Order: sequence, then structure tokens, then C-alpha cells
Amino acid sequence: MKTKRLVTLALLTAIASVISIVENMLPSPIALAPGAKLGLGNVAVLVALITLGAVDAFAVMLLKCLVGAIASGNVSGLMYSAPSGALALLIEAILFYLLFDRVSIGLISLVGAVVFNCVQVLVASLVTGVNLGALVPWMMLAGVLAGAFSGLLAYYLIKKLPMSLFGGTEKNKNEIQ
Amino acid sequence: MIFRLKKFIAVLCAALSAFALCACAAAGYAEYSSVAFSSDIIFTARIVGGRPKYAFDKMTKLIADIDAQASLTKDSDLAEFNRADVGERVEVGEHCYALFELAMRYYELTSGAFNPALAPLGELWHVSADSIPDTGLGDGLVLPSRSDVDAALENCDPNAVVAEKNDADGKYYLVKTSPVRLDFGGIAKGYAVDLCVRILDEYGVNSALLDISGNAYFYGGYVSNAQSDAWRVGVVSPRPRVQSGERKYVCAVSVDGGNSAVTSGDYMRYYVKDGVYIPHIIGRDGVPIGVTFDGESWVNSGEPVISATVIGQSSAVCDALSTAVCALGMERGLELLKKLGYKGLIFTEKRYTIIGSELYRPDRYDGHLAYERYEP
Amino acid sequence: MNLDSIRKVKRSKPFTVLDGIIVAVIAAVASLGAWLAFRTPASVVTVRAPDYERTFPLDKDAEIPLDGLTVRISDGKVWVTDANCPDKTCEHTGKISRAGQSIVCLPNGVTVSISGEGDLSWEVG
Repeated sequence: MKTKRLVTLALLTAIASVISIVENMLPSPIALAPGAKLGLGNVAVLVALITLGAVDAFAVMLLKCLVGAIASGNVSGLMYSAPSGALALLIEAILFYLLFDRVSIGLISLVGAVVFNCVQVLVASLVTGVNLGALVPWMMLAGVLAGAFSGLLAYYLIKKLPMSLFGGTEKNKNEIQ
Repeated sequence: MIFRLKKFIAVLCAALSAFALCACAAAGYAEYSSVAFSSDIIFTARIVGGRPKYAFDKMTKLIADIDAQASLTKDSDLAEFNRADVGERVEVGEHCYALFELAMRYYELTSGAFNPALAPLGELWHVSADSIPDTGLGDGLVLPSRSDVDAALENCDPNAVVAEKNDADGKYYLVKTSPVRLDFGGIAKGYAVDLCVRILDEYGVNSALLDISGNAYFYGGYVSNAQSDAWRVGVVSPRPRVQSGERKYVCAVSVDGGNSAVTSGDYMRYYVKDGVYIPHIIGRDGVPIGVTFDGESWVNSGEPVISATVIGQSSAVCDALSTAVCALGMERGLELLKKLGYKGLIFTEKRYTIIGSELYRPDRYDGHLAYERYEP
Repeated sequence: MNLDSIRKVKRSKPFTVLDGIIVAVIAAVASLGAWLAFRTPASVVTVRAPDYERTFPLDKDAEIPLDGLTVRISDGKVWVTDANCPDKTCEHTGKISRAGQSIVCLPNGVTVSISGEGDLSWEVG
């Protein structure tokens, strides 16, 4: 199934990147939070984590950050998105392998988004030299909402798509992998 | 029922998300600076939101364009005009033309207190940008005589310059009818800042500070702790003239976003000759402010403006008016600001006056309370 | 394709009990952080008169009778009443509430100032 994996990986990367680029072009929904966005690209990363595993999800996430940064011309944005994304995904992967399904996909995504936002504030504080600690509560709140939203989106996507699409059948559990 | 509840929660999450979400945001000002105009002028920008680096690069380029047309030191359009003979038609760029129009408007509105054609006097007094001694000591310099000043004043009328716009080819020309020279040093920085503000609009910036060597512009509210507020701007203390270590503030004013603040003062560029302070700002009589002729020699006298801060929408106007207020003196300066609807803060050595703004006592404060408040 | 994972996700519920607990913990941490960050910084009112200097918290109501005038602190605002000076500039200053603002009564030699907030956002001059 090497080809299938490769194609899925490429497809998810492309989807994640396109969502990132489109989001970058839209104006921020909050006047005081420049660059604020929903982070829908993370749905693709989450789907990659579930369907392909942690290593591939990392690839999707990093490529998404890279393509998004280059496309928006804001390469310095990588400084924020890459470390935040990496740490968030690491936590998500740990939760997914250790605690799923005692916690839901939505929660895994939610925790990831909270971690993502907190790391971002930390990086911003280091870069600007301004203590932005006061932003953390808002960023956590935003992370809870955005993370839950994209998590649920990923969950329903996986749940509603037919098993055959993933290369399996609904009934047969001994799939050739 | 349970399924419905789940659905409801999911929809609620989605709705909430659409309102207030950020998975990626960073507040705090990104700071950029570059050398602008001539080598000792610094352009600083602090930007939140939008695409700051792009905006900054574009602003830097714009400033370089203006510089190429309107500086005195380089081989600019303006320098070419100044070198030209009387009657010669010199083609200039649009910035140079716009600066001339603007300068003439404020020459009229300030009754000549702001004058873009003072170059001969600046040289005579050794206070032009390239001749004023960096050390502040004027020991080797010779002060002009009263008659030298009067002679030089003859060639300081900017009305001797005629501007022409050729609508057919869209080109701009300046022609001089007498040997007059122009200097946009008192307005070009402000003009550049005003054009930079349009670039901030274009790049979706939320909040920014622009500063070209003291011409400050405040764009949007000041963002701190995720809150937006008026800008608290410290006004540097004009006395003592030289401050060692951290600069002190005579007071601070609150400035709303969308305004510029520019300060001119006698303490910024000056030199001392035989105990007389010669500041760089020249009054309508052709003599630096606070300097008079007592029949034998030049002496310091009167109650000149030592610091004038003008606050208002256009940085170019603030730039011109702050100089004009210094040249006019406190009372008439205040009248001028009132007439034109600009806010300001004026200090002499004894008194201060404020119009349209609020005073604060910042940290590192060095007393506006030592001055007596003047209210007409 | 990690079909086991996919099936596990398909079988899983959109919300779990542990979800609620974790969200509650995150909410608690965020609220604590917000409270810490947005506690109004304790501004201090300094009252100076000849032979007198004392500071008062801005958030506590107080009435300070001095020679020639009375300083009142209430609702986070400070103002001067009952001034006996001829020009009454101090009374006309009105109520002040922000760090950096001050009220001065020159005839009585009294200054009232609020300090405690952060510094400036820029400087000119």
C-alpha cells in the first residue's frame, strides 16, 4: 500500500496547504489579534495522524507551515508556526496513542490548539521582547474553541466517510495492509 | 434526543468558532528601522498585524523616492533646482512638486513663520543641516552683521518660485524669478510619514508607530496586554539642553490613534558662540529665535519657545507648524494652532501652554510643574 | 493506511467524560491566568502638602482634609473639593483616575498625583 499512502499523504498536504493559504488571505476575524484564524488546516493534519500515523502527520504539518509561509510571503511566520505546530502535534500524538478513546478526537485537537497558541505567545514574547503573558488566557480560550471545532470536523469526516474510501471494507476486519 | 444534543453542541461550537477564533496570532509590535533621507535620520516602524515586513519595505522605498527628489545633499531634483539660474525651468518629480505646494500653503497660513526658502540665512548663521557644528561649539565661526542678515532676507521669499504642471505630459516644473533656494527639511519627513500611513492602510496593519527622526505617527490604538488604548507619548524635556544618560520627560500627552505628533525646539540643534546660544530655528526677522541685536552684538533675550509639540492628523502639517510655533512665539503660536484646529503643547523657559490634549506625569519625569501655566 | 485507527475513530464517541474533566482544568487555568493578568494594577495616590506627604490606595475611598482644601478618593477617582484658594484651578481640574495624572493647588502648595501604571508608548522631541 505504499502508493496509496504516498497519494494520501500528498493529498492531505495539499489540502492543508491550500486551507492555510486561503486563511492567510482572509482578514483577521478579531481586530486586536492580527493573523488570528481558525486553523482549519489542522483538520488535514489530524486526519493524517489518524489514517497514516504520527510520522506522516508531522510531514503534513511541517509542509503545511512551509508552503503557507512561502505562499503568504511571510517566511518569518515559520518561526511561530513550526515550533508551535510541532509541539502541538507531539502532544496530540501522545494523547491519541495513550488516551484515545477515553478522550475524544475533539479533545485531542482542542488540547493541541491550546498548546499551539501558548507556544506561539511564548515565541512572540521572545521575538518582540515584550511580555505577552496577558494574552495567554485569551489564546487558551481561542484554542479551546478553534481546536474543538476542527477536531469535530476531523472526527465527523472520518466517521462519515465510507470505510471503502480508506481501502477497507465495513465488515472485514482482517484487512490486507 | 441525545443525538440532537450532540448535534446542537457541534453547531454551537462551530458558531462560536466563527466568531472568536485564533489558532495563530501574535500580538506585540514588530520593530523595524532603517536609515532614511541623509545618514543621520532614522526611520523606525513598530507594527502589529497585517504584513509588517512588506509594509516596511514599501515605506522604505517610498522614503528613498522622496529623498531622491527632495534632499539637498544628493543629486536630487531640488538640488538641481537650487543650482539652476534665474529663469531656468527645472523638471522635478511629483513628490518635489507636492512638497512645494504644501510648503507654500503653510508659508501663507503661518504668515511666513514657516519658510522653505531660508537657505541663505541658514548658511549665514551656520545652522543649516550640513554646516551646524556637531560639537555645539561655535568658536571658529563668525556671526553675521545685521546688514548681512537684511541682505540675505532679500532672497528668502519662496513666492519667487513658480510651479508649473504640464497637463499634457504630466510633468512638473519649478522656475525661479530671483536667486532663491528651497529647503524642504522642515516638511519632507512629515510628508513622507503621511504617505507611509497609506501603505499601512494597504497592508492591513492594525496598530503601528512610525517615526522619522522625531516625526511620530500613531496608527490605530496602542496595543498592550491585548487591549487597545490611546498612546502615551513622553515629551522630552527641553532643559537642560544636553542630557546625559536616560532622557527625561517634561510631561507626557495622550494621543489618539490617527494622529501625528512632532516636536521642534531650540535645544535640538544649536551652538554656543561667545556665550550666546544660536538655535537652528530662524524667525521671520532672519535671526535665530531668542537672539537679538543689542546695538553692538548678538545676545540672547526675550522668552523664546524652547519646545513646541504639535498634534494632528497630518504629520507634514505638524512638522511645519511646530517650526512655525517656535518662530512665532508662545502667544501667536497658540493662536495659530487654534485657528488651524491642531492640538499642541508649547514651552518657554518660564511658561507652558497646552491646547486640546491631556497632560500626564510619566516615569523619568522632569517637571512641567516647574513652568507656569499660560492660558490666554 | 492505519485501518485499525480509523475503525477505532469510527466507533468512538464525539464527547467523553474525561473530555469534560480536561476542558474544565484548561478553563480553570485560563481563568486563573486571566485573573492574574487583568487584576488592575494597584495604583497609588500620592498627596503632598507642606510638611505632609502620604500615599493612599486608589481603590479605597478616603477623605483627606488638608489646610485649605480636601482631597477625596472614591470609585477609583481622585478630586479636590472645598478649596479656599482664589483661582480654584485644583477644583476645576476635575476628577483624575489614571496613572500620571495630577492635580496641583499652587496657593496651598498641594499636589495630588497617581502613579503605578506602566510607562510611555513613545516619545517626541
